[in-house]
Amino acid sequence: MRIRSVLYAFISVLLIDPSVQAEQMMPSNEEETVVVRHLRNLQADTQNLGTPFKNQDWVENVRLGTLQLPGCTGALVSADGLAVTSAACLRSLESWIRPSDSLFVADQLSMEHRLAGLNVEQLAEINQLVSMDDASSNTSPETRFEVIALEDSSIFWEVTWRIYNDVRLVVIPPAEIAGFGKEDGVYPRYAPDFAFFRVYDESGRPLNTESYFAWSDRPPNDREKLFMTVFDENEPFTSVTLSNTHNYNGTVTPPHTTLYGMLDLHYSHEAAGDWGLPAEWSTKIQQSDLSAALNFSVAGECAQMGVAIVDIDMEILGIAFDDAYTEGHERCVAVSTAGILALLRTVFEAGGIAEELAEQARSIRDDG
Amino acid sequence: MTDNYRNWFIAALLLCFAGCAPGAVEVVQIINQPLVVEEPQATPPSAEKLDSSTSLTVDRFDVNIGRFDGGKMWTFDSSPVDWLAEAYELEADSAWFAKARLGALRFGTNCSASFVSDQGLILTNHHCARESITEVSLEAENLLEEGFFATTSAEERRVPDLYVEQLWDIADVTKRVHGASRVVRGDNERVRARRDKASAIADELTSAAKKQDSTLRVEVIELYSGERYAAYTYRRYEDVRLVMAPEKRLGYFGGEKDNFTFPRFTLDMAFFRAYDEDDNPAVTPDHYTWSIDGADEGDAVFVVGNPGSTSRFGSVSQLMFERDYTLVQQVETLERRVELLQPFVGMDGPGSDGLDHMWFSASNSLKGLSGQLEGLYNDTLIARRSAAEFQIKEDLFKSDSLSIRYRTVFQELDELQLSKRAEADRLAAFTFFGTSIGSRILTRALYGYYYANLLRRGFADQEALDDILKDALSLDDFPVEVDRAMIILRLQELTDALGEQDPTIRSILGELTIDSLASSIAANTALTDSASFAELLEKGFLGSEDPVVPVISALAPLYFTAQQQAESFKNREDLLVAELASLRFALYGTNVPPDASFSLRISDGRVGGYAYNGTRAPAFTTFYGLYDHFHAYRSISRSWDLPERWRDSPEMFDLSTPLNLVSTNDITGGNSGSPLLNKELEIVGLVFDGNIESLPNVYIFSDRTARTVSVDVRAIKASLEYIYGAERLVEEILEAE
Repeated sequence: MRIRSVLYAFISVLLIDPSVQAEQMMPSNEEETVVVRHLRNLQADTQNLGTPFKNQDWVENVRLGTLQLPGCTGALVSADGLAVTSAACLRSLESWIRPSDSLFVADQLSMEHRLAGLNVEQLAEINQLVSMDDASSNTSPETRFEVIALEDSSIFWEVTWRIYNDVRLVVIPPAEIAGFGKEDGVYPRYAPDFAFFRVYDESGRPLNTESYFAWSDRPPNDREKLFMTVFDENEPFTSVTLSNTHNYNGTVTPPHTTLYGMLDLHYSHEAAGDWGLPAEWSTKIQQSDLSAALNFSVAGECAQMGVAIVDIDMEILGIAFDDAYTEGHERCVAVSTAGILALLRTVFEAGGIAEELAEQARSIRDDG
Repeated sequence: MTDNYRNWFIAALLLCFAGCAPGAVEVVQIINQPLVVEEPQATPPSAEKLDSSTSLTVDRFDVNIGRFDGGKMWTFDSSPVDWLAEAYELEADSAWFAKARLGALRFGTNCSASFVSDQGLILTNHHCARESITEVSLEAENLLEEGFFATTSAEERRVPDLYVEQLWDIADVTKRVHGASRVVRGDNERVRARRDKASAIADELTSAAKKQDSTLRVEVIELYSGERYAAYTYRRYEDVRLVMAPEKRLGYFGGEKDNFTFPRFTLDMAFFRAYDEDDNPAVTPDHYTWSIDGADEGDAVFVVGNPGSTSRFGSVSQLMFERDYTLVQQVETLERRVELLQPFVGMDGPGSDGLDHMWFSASNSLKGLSGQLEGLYNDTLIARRSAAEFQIKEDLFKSDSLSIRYRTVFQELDELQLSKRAEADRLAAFTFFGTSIGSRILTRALYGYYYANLLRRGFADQEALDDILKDALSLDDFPVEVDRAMIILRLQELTDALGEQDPTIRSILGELTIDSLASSIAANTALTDSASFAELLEKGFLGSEDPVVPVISALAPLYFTAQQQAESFKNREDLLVAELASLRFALYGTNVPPDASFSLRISDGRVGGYAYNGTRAPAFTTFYGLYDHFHAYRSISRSWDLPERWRDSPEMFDLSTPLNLVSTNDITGGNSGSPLLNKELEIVGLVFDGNIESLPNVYIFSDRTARTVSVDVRAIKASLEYIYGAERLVEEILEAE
């Protein structure tokens, strides 16, 4: 079994028993890593927000609501296994798995298209081990075990990954629409770079899950504290702030962009080149709520493509899709869930999906 | 836009106090501007995306001298006939140039404009019209915020003192002017003799012209620093009335933040009308016709307007001085004040408007000056100017007569910069001192000191005294805690520049700290508002017990000495720069256009997007982008707010209509309101700004990424038609033959 980065150790501390202080686990001060700082920051941030740290529930939902794809990330967004990621994430998969460059919309379950060969994984469990010898040797098609350790091998954990191998494509915009403008590394940006897929269980039914992110229909607020939910080696669990005050081009970047701006670029470039929308697309977009937020950016790097950006209430506000570096500022560019919802209803004629997202958001709010 | 300077130099009066005749008191006026722009391209700029993460105006790899580094602000005296044929296959004859010239206007004292109908209808910028709009507002109106449209000509409102001027005729008077100085010895004396002669010729020609037509007057324009003189006959229209202005939110959409920015979405327009002496709309057959279809990317376009001046023709040592001292000092001084004012901005209460305005002016200037400074930090720019200077030196030594006359001019300029450097740190303490961007108390005290000394010396020109008094009392008030902070800042800057042991500093502070001195002044002075200041002046300012008196009595002599020193540097520098201009003229003649002089110029270019922000800025923006910005920035700022009637635009209003456009023309301050014309001399745009990349164009013209920003005529027509119900104007501009 591969020993993965020590960084996971500290996440697991938090996940298993939030009462254990991360510092106590440190062999020495010198070994305090970036992870510990992140964990401290997270705790401080949530305390500063005046919201009680939603420790176990909050963290467990993040853990189980997050799906690992090869090289990128997705997020569950309904109790019926619906998940969202960036279109570029799905199209970056091995050629025999990935969806074609054209539009795909399945507004009914029966139309969903299995991406044969694609497995997604969920971080199911983390247990501390007394020694390496206690590591489980049982593997199955549904689970994968991994042992991680502190660098000095003083403490071990076993991580259980739940594998899902029935993953079906639900909605993906054509590549030219998702990559509107081909403006890699740029913000302000106007790209609906998103895709939906659904996770099915062993019996071929949509996965029934209690852990998912409720869909939000609003853009982030000014200076709102948001969270990127990755368990990446460098950025385990990051709190981010909407970046809106950066100077650029003699002015300031917008907190978010809108569908109006997408049409502005289309017409500004005379409906040609990388910004040229096919006529039926520009017509359909015009029928949407054009004031809906399309993209926004948060300070810092994206952890991974497709990472969910959530608020303190665990509602999903955006899907990270590209790093941008403008005039000295690092930022992560995300598609706004508000814009996706507006486009699903009109442009993609996927009212069913839109309703599924809205329902889940409502039911969570009602419970809360 | 950048009318920032205007209000702050109200107090810049005092230049000659210590030495020269009091009659020489002058209020510094700095021309109001849109901006600058860049190298000609006969083909449209390439459409490929370039990495432009750093905004350099000049090609960062090209240190070779460009044909148009000096710019393309051509005069109508020597029109660029061959160049237009070469670059645009345009056979521009004298009739073409006459039409281009006669449709254009000088608007007031700092803007440009044009006639767009045969009934005297004038188009200019909203930011050029602001003062006029405020002036014609009635008691209960706020036309600047609400906008204005005269539904009938009877409702058009005359603006007091506003006039526009049309360049009617041009005659070369070089020989006459130079004749007067032929026998005069000494550089200073020769310059003075020429200027006196030029002014005498202007008077003579004006009275001759007035016999023919009372609206005519003649100015003698100095070109190439006096190597050429031209008599410009202007027709002046003195009855100018406001016809239409959009709400400030549209005219200034994006506010200070978006100033110098493109992509841009601003409807920076206003309409006026010229009337004749019989109270009828002026008959103006020489107007531009309106283009229905506007321009396309790649089209040749021409700006006809009145650019102010640039810094393209001095020495490299001057640029370096500007880079190392002048600009740095100005930028740092402004930065400190912007930061100081920041917490007080946008608060209601007495003095808040003036404070907000000061903050806007300061941040706006800070943006402009920082952009220029960044240009000077670009080694390529300096290298290119150095190459040009080297070329002149080489060419110079090919001619014996020229080398005898001019061989020391660069050296003298370089040495002068050394002298300036020696004084610069000391003078830095007075950057923007006595201007409206600073402590009101100290500025009033400076006026008070000056005024009292004039009286004491028996200065008898009552009119000049009244003017000074009027200026002194026109300062707006602001909260005393801001003033206290401003005093602390200035005293700290003085201490940093002069040193704690400096006798002036010691005499000002005595046993006090800067903070406690400032607090005591703020708490006890009568100079916190104009009314009590006026009273104090009446009683005798310097003899009063006011706590600011000892401070200003110590500071003012130092300030006036510094000003005198700066003035003497400037006079010497002006003379040397004029010599340099003569040298250039001797070498290159009229192939290089003379520096801008707020007289009419024509500048050629093409409509074209450019590499920006890692992607490409399109040549045009649309109304969709206006709404994008409105919704996108709502949560953080009101700068992109829209008035009610714009929020739900009518069905008929096509949001894909082009709103702003960019082109490669060479413009600078004074070009605001200029028409953008196509080859047929139809109006396709209204110039209102330069982009951020154009700021360093003040040193070298480049059109790599620097652009002129204009309002598209299609946006003007559509908003008149569908938003403002101004069909009568639309009909007028479309029907005009």
